[in-house]
Amino acid sequence: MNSKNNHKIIGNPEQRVDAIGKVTGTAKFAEDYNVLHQLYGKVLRSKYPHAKILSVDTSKAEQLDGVEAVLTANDIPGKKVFGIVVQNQTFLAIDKVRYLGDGVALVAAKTKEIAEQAIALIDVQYEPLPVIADPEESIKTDAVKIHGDDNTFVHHKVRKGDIEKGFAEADFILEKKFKTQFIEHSYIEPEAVLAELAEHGGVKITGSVQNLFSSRRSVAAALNLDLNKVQIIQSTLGGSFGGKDEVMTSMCCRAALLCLKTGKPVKMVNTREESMLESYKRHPYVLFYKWGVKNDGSITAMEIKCIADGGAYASMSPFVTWRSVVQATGPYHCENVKTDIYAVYTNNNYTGAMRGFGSPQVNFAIESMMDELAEKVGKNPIEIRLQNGYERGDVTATGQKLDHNVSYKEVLKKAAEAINFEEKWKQYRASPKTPFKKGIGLASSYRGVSLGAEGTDAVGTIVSVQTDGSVIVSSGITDMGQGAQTQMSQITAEVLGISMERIQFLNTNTSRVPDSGPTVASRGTIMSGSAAKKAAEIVKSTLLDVASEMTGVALQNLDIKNNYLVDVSNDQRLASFSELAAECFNNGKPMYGLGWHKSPHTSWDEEHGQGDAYYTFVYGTNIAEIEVDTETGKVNVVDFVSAHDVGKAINRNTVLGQIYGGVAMGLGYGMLEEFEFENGIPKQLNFDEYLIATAMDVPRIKAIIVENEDAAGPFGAKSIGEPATELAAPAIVNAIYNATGKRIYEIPANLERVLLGHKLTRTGERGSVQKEKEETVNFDSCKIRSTEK
Amino acid sequence: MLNSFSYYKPKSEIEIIETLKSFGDDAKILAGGTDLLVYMKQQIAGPKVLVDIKGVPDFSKIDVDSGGNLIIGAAVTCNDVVENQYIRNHFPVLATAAKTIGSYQIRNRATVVGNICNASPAADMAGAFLVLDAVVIIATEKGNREIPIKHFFVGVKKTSLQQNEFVKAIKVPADYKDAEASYLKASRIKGHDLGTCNAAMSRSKNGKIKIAIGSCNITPVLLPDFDSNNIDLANILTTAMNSIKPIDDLRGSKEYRKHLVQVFIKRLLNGKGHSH
Repeated sequence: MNSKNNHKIIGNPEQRVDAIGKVTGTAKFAEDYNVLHQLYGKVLRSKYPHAKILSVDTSKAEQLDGVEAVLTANDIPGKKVFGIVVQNQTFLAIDKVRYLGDGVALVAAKTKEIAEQAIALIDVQYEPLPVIADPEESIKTDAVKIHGDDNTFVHHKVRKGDIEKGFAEADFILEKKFKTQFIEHSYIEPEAVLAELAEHGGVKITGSVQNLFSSRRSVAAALNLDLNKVQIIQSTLGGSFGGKDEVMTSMCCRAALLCLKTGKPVKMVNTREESMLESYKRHPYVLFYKWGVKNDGSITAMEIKCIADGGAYASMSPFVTWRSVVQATGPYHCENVKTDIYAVYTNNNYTGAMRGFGSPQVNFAIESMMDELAEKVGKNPIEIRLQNGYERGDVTATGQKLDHNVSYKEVLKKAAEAINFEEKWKQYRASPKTPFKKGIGLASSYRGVSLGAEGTDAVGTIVSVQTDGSVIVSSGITDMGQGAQTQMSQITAEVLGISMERIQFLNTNTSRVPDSGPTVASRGTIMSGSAAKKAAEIVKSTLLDVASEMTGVALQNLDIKNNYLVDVSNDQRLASFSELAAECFNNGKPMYGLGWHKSPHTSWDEEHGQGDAYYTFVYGTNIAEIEVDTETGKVNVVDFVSAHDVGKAINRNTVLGQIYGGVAMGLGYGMLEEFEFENGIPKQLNFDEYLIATAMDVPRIKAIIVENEDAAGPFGAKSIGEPATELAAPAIVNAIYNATGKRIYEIPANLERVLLGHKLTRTGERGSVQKEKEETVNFDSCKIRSTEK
Repeated sequence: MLNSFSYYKPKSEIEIIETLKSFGDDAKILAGGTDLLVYMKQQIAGPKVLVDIKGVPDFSKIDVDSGGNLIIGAAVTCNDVVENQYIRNHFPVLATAAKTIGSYQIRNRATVVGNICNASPAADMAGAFLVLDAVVIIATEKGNREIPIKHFFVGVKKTSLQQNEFVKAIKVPADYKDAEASYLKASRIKGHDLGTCNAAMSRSKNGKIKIAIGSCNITPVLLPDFDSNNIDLANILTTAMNSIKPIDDLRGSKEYRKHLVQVFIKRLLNGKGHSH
């Protein structure tokens, strides 16, 4: 049912509620918060990717004038480790360092300069240990252990049917290995916090934090404080993309520790280099895909094994890889499935949540396999997907029956029609080899919405009408730039029958809104929007009760429209919204609503990997049209289609923004970005060498918004944040194949891989530096380049 | 973090020299600052004194002297060159090369002379100036001296500038006005990236072909002249391969660089010298 015509605010391209502040500079990012007498905190990080700490001597640093505290793990009064599933991540190293970004000691000083000098005066003695840099090495039983006695800390399974039988039925086997890379989140604002003593005990932390409640839990445990004594307030965030979770938990804890020790406010701000050195990345995967296939293109068996590089700490790996195991087959029929996904420790940066969350890796493999399958059986990429793709009522690899509107094929067809895919695909592959060759490729997916069976999934949003009819909205879901505040405001305005200008949105504060879990998994709109709808309905119900008493008009004839109380039987305006609010207040009625939304049921049987993993799914297709310079390997993306079923676009512009940004990130994943290590040492720590797509690299993008309203979401809305970025890479790789006949099994598909099909060996230095001096890494000042005179 | 420094902005060439003399090695010339400030922030350079040359009005000029030579002052920005109609009409390769430096915002600050003085092996302006046989005009205590640009680069980020000297302008000989010249650069992204490698070529009116290669040796490399009436591609490619010593780095492997140089030379000679 499409009820668009009845909506006043839903679906409109309303101006973002945070736009004016951001464009005029009044929005306050974490670094903008400064208070009198604040100290500056700095972290001494590890000198080795893997080493025992023999001793830490802080005496010289303590004696430096202007230094107010020098702390190590010994100074943490409570729990010294944290983690969402496996609690083994240190705020400050205990006995051992496990990657180069590990913090060893902290300094608080009167100026940043003094803090830096003090850091250099801390003497740490290490005993270097062998470095495990390769997950395929780490998983071997005789590998050096990073935590405890096993480097493998996650093994998720899916078991369906009988793969032996499936492979026996197959006409042929398609077996390939794929690899993906580490990816930096590249949020424009590096990590920053300000920690202050709270007025009546405890601490108040203002900062660039994505998941305030999980950060608060870990900080409170470390400081031996009750949750009500740790207040975390979200500053306006300059991007996050999943990246401001554990790294911010750590920074919040360190700043709070320094603050409590010194009794003074402590500011901590990472430089870009510190940020890249310490922060977690998107997991690199090694993916082994083996499919049994019939000559007609149907798939009889899928055997899938993936190894994820978890880096130094468990972090979100158990959940990231769980999404991978659920979605590893793609939206394609197969009766016999055996999937095993492992996460292993290495001495690389730890890996965790990043936009996509385990889907970009498997999608690259699945969609490459699908195109190879098409090639082998003489079909085109659309035909093979229409043949194998899910429809309503189908059962997934995890045994879940899809009983919502499964629009996989609708989205695929709409995307293909928009760019004339099939004709171009045929034409480009048949055209003779010339220096510049065109190609077109597509990728499609299904994706579980929200947390699914990962854990408790509930959100609170608060709507508070003021006595003058203005409204304050706040929520446990944070806005990191994705537009959550605007979505919730639109939903509130729609329900209350008022205009957007009346709404003021507050940044999230852990002491003022209920714990709503993390802002992840593209759950913002569907969860907090549902909660906002309920909150507004609670308030509206009170307002209309009062209105009925005030006017004598029967309740069923009253509504609020365009900021006025109206009698719907004759369309007469009875009072303004402001008058109604004042009346409600004068009658002593609450104009405050807490909307609470708990997700529908999901289930998971860990042993067999079966269950209703997610309560609903979204469907998307990306198509890339490219031109390849076959003599240099340069790929130019000339046109792009990104089609997504979002359920309902609450704000069309926000959806478009998510789609465009998602394609830009996905393009970087496919062609440009790679956070490289050499034996645990990052090769790049700033954007001069870690390249993300610029405005010049992002192609024209045609966004297609498909709206099949879903009962699970507010006004039918589902998700777009992560779906938007999980498909561009395989679409581009498939387009490169269409152009050149060469398939790329390892991303990014950079110039050399496109030209040669593989990457040649490289060292980490910038050429000019390497020639000048042999010295390479200056660990202490966390610079990767050697210092030329 | 930047160390503290003093800042001077002299109004004349003499004053600049005097300031350089009084501070010696502690002083650095500041033009656009797009390289220098990065080095200072990374503590690669730590000058106690910055001598800003933008206070001398003549240095911001693009001129043609009485002999018809093009003179580009030391404070002329990359965008000045990109947008200058005379350069676009008669020395277009300079505009082409300048446009590949950094981003638009960087090009508003960065100077073409600074790009030369930074002496990066990847310097985008180096190849274009090399194939136009440009001359570097150096201000010294004893007046100006001029050296051919091919003798200006002596090592990675090293030039033949002596103490108390600075480059006040670069001159492109009138001989190269309207000469065919082109520039190619391989970079990983279309925005601000250093070249994985670059190549420039000119064909002068008197039948000489000049080819320069960047990012493939410790300095930008100018190959010996070739005869445009008798092009021996195999010989040119062999000469090029013998003149470069590329390395492996984050931007590309040496094998890939060697391959690119050959592709670029062929394209330049075939008149297909459009970048990207």
